[in-house]
Amino acid sequence: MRIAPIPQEPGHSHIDFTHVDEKCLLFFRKHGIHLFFSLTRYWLVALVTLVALVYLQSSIFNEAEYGLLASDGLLILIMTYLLIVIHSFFLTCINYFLDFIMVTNKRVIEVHKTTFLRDEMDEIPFDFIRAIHHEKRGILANILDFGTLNIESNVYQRISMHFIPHSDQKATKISEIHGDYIGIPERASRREEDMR
Amino acid sequence: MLQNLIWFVIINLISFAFYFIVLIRVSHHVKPFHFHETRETKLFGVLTVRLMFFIYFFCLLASLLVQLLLIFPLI
Repeated sequence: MRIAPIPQEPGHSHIDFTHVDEKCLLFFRKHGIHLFFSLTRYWLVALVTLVALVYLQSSIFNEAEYGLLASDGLLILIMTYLLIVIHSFFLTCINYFLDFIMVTNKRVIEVHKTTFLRDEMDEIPFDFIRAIHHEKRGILANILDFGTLNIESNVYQRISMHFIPHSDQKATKISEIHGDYIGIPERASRREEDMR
Repeated sequence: MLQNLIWFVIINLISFAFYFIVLIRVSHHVKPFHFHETRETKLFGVLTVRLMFFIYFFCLLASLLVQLLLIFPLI
């Protein structure tokens, strides 16, 4: 029986499971480009701030007529704005790390979590998996090598995972682990290789 | 000036309190497998959630300095 190596580096945190004899065989997060897209509004905020600063530098600061800009209220407002942007930016980054997909020797688990507002978990036991397929669409997806991974179950449950890095390899790997679980013999191509 | 200073202290106290709330929430209310890291799961091959908290903290410190410079300009 072929068992995928456990992707765990020594000295790192252990993984707890409800099932005692369950172990992690595959663990992955979304592609970094997903975080880049999530942070789009902050790139826009940074751009607007930069344009505003350039405008202020060339007009008001240059002519030394500060007017409203010299007020204390505006100073406090700018400080608050700066802090809100920093907190929102890092919360988005931290939320990226809380979403993941894990494949154990018994099931596929998908977790969506944010720091405060969301905590969801989907799982499909290997007994119920009907089909595993992936798709890569678009130029960016093919260049950066990410795609969508779909796992369907017999009970009309479906896990769709977007922005999965190396989605084709992941689909193959999950398929192999699933095959090991349900006892499918090695694939025909591998048997042929062994015979040579 | 004094009023600015009071606002500065209040805003930054709230800000750092929020940081520690996030830190405590992620460390204690999140299951250990959220911290499971492999070479592949690290963002850009380097960044982990722990490292992200360090950067977060230093950005807050940097913003504290910038605000101090806004309140007490050197020139």
